[in-house]
Formats: sequence, structure tokens, C-alpha cells
Amino acid sequence: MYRYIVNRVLLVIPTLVGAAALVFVLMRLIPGDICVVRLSSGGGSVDPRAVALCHAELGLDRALVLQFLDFVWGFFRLDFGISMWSGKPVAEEIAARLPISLEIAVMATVVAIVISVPLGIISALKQNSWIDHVVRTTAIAGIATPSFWLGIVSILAVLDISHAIFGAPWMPPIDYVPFWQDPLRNLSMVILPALTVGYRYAAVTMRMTRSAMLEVLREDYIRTARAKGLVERLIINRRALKNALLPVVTLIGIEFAFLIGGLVVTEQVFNLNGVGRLFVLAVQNQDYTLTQALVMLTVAVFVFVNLVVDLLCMARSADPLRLKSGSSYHGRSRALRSCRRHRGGGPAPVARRHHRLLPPPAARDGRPSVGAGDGSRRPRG
Amino acid sequence: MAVADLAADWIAPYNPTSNDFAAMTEPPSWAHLMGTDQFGRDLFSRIVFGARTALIVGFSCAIVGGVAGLVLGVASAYFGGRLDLVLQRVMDVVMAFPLIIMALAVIAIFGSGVYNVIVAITIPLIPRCARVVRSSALAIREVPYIDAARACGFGHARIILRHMVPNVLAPFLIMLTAFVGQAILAEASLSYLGLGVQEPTAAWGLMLQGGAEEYASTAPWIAVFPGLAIALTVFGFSLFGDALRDALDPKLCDRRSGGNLPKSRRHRWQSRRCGSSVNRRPRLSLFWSNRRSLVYQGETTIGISRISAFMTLPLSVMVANIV
Repeated sequence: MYRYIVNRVLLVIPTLVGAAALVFVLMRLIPGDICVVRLSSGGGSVDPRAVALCHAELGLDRALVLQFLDFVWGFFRLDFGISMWSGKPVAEEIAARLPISLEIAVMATVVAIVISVPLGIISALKQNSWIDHVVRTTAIAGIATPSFWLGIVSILAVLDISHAIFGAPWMPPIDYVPFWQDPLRNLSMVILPALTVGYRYAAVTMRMTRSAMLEVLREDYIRTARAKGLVERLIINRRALKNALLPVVTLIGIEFAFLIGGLVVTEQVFNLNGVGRLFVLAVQNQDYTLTQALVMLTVAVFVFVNLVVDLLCMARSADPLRLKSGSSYHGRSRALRSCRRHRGGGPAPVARRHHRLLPPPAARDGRPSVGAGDGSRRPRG
Repeated sequence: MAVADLAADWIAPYNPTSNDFAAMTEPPSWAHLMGTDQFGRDLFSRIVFGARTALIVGFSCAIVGGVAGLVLGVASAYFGGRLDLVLQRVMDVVMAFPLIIMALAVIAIFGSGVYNVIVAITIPLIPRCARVVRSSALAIREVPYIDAARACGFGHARIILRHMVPNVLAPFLIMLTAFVGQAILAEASLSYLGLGVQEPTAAWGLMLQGGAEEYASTAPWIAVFPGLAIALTVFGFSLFGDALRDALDPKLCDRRSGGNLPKSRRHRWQSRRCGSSVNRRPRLSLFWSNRRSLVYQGETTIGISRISAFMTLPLSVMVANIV
């Protein structure tokens, strides 16, 4: 098991280095020169000596290998250098824009979880019923609708509705105010993008919850639990949900990691100055250091979330490799163990009351029990 | 969609690029079914021609990305060892890499246009497909008939093409349909950002970029119709992918799943989906007779351990999106 953990952690390194190499090469393949762009921004011709001086200043005249090693070494020291465009430290540039992106990501996640998990579970439990069809259709619509279009339409709707109610159109504020300074203003700015992104996010999560739940409900250990007469509510809450939510949590984690830097289009629609827009700006300005730092940030979050999710999965299943040959053994033993706990040990009156195969508890007291299931063989405490 | 694509020239009442400055931002009427945009171009004609762009991008991305992913995924699973390790690390890198940066870079290097957009969208689709295919193929590599084929002295190419590829086709086909929708969505997003298809080509994302925001309150039809077109198309492909998934996923082929249907339909329904389909589908017999092995609990899309190949489908498809 430790070997698996060490292996998994070590595999992070080649991914990060590979991503670093990819962004480094891609940025240098893009035609253009940041020094020329910077110097010619006022118009007019550019002096080659000034360009050379600028190259020396930014360290672009060194060998590419040296530049790459410098970048990777800086990344491992968490020193991202100075933005080639603005001259400010990259960390400062990102820190200024991170709060709004983070806030939208968190709010969208909350919206998604609140909507999707209960609906996904209901949809799985009532498979092929009208609720299921409605939920599935809504979910597919959420995935199919482009979020930027939803953004435009929602702004339009807010404008029209506010115009109809208050007599004057209302627009969300444009400048960002932290939540703790003016919660109302902050929320009125963030709520629309969060809902827009949250709908798509919820749709994805809902589908995952549904399919995970359906898959788990067909496992042998659920059948075992049903055969043992456990009430449906306990089967769902204690057995099925615990296992079904694992891939859902995975998905939520990955989507969240992706949202922090990936809200390019949404930020464009709602005119928000977040990390996503910084991304586009950095590439368009040929700002090598800023782009590299942003890509590495996104990749690192992605890889880290993946790692955490994998280790969590491993911690739950104890032996990830054995799962390749089928996991029902683990599931069954878990179901049996908890079944034993309920039936033999602690109080589980509901479960016992519904166990119709056995005589009532009073009749069984004081004698070895009739053996339906291994749990009942233990003396009752 | 297909009809609109093939017969665009006959369906569209106007030339999608011709301007009529006498009829700018006109509301929908009999003359202009969906109104006109800020340059006086007929929206309905542009949407019909936009279908062509969307389908070209959608299908080429899905097919090229899917086939490349299939080849890489099956090869990675079949040969295993060092090749697998290296390929998977490369896939990791491409998958973790933000799609938008890839698109920006491709467009900055090669210039914008439909074919470069296809390249930009295809690259991130490859690892997603390869992962799902690999996780299915890994399970198939272990089944006895592959050993038998090897014992018979068949070459690698024959084993892969005749025995492995047909058995991973189920998740592959489902993914392909989902990819078409996702590629259309990604193309619309890129065009909206000004990084995709360029004017005057008719493309849905582009139509939203131009006047949609500016004229949103005075001429909402400019914003509404192209978006509806995108949403309905992707909806259709997703629905098709879902239906395909339901039909091909062996886990959903369960006697209990007929429980909610009326009794009169239950038997027929079950026998249609769960019965002895081996006999009724001789051409796909290999594919069907081994379908149990498709459900595979093991390593998946991004190294997550405890979900089967089928469940990674939504996962692998969704993360490729631009939001």
C-alpha cells in the first residue's frame, strides 16, 4: 500500500515537468516578441539595440535550456518571477484576481452540490419515472447550453425584469468589492455568474450521481442488505450512498480545480476581472512568465486534486489493485460487517423490526439464534 | 441538422454573408424568419449555414480525436510496460493542460480558421478518449481468448484489430457521439472569444460574439436564436449518446431495471435489451458475447480507482469544456 502511495506521489513530478515543458515550448513557438510589442506600443519603429537591451533585461537572450531550468527551479521554490508585461511580481498579479475567481468557483460548487446530489439520488431511485425523465432532461440541457449564452440571456432577463418591476434597468456592479466589506454588493455581482456556471456544473454532477447510484444499487452487497431485511432508507443512506458518492466527490473536486482558472468565457460575458481573463491577456501579450505561472498553477491544482482523490479512493478501498478483479468482495464484507454490527451489537430497532424471516426478538432471547445470516450467531448484548 | 447542413444552399432564403442595410436589426417576420442582425444579414440563413460549420467541426474533431485516442488507448493497454507508462504520462500532461491555452497557442501559431480550430479542439479530446479506451482494453487483454489468439501465433496487429478493438467499441461509440456535441460547444466558445472561426463565415458562436451583447436589449433575437441552435444541437447529440449508453452498458442490462415499466411491456423490453442478443446480432457477436468484460473496475480516466469505464464517460467528456 505504501508503495502505491509513493508511486502515485512520484508520478506527479513527470506530469508537472511535462506541462512545464509544453507551455515553455508553446509560448516560444508563438510568433512575435514581447520586447517588440512593448517598445512599439507607443507607435513608431523600434531600435534593435533597445530590443536587445530589453531581451537582456528579461533574460530572453540566454540559452533556452537555461531559461527552462530557471523556470522549473523557480516553480519548485514557488518563485514565479516578474511579469514581463507589467513589471509587477507574477504572484501579485494573480493574487489580485484570484478572490473573484475563487468566490465564483466556491459559490458555483455550493449551488451544484445543493441541486445535483439530492436530485441525482432521487432520479436513480425512481429510475424511468417521470421525475427521472425531468431530471435527466434538465441535466442534458445544462450540459448542452453554452454557458456564455446562458450568461447573456440571464443578464437580459435581469435587465428586463428589473425594468418591469423598478421602472429602471438594474445592472450588477462592475468593480469588485470583497465579501466582508459589502456582502450585498459582492453577492449581487457574483450571484449571476455563479448560477450560470453552477447550472452546468450541477448538470454534470447530477448525471454522475445518478449513474453512480444506479451502479451501486445493482451491487451484490445491496442485494445482501435487502435480503437481510434492512429497511430501504438505511440501505440507501448507509450502504449505497457512501459508495456512490465517491465518484461524485471526485468529479466535484476536478471541476472545482478546473473552475479556478478556467472561467475564461464566463468572465468575458460578465465583464469580471478574474484569473481566466488574465490568462487570455497574458498569452496575447506574450507574457512568458505570467502565462507559465498561470498554466503551472492550473496544472498543479488539477494534479493535486487528482492525487488527493486517488489517495482518498485508496483509503476507502484499502487495496486499489485488488479492485481490478472486481470490488464486490469488499462491498459484501463491508455490508456483512455493518450488518453484524446492527443485528448483533448496537441498537438497530428499525432494522430488526422489519426482519420478517426471524421470529420477534422476545422469542429469540436466551437461545442460540436461527441462522439467517452470520450476524445473528453472536449472542445478543 | 444533417438536412440543414447538406441542403443549406436550398433551405436558406438569403445569402448568409450578403448585407441588406435597409433591413438592419429587424425583428422576426415572414420576410426574415428569425430577424436580421446589425449588418442586415438574415439570421435564419446564417443559422442554417452555421449548421454546416458546426457539423464539420463536430464530426472532424470527434472522429480524428476518437480514432487517435482509440489507437493510443488500445496500444497502450495491449503492449503495457514502458510504452504504457510513457504514453499515460503524456496523456496526463495534455489532459491537465488548459484547453484555452492550447487553443490560443494553436491559433497564434497557425492562424485562425476552421481547420486550426479543429486542431485546437481535437488535441485535448485524444487523451480523454485514450484513457477510457485503455481502461476497457486492459480488462479485455486479460481474457482467455486473447491468450488463445496469442497461442495460435497471431500477430499483434491481428489480435488488436480483430479481438481487442471490437470489444472496446461500445464505450468508444458512446464517447464519439458525446465528443461531437462537446466539440460543437467548444467551437462556439472559441468563436465567441474571437479565437475560432472568423467573419464572414457563418458560425453560431461568432453570431453571438458580434452584436448579441451590444444589441441585447433592443434586438434580443440576435442573441437568442444562435444560442438556441447550439443548445438544441448539443442536446440532441447528448441525448443520442445517452440512449446509446443505455443500450450498450451491460450494467444497465439488468432484470430489475424493468421494474418500473408496465407489466405488459416488461417482458418484451427486457428481452429486447437483455435477452439472447448474441443470436440476433451475428455481425457483432464478438462484441456482444464478451460484453460482460466491458464492465471493468479499475484504473480510469484520470487514475481514479473505483469507477468503471462506463462511468468515466461523463467525466472524461465534461472536463474538456470551456466555461
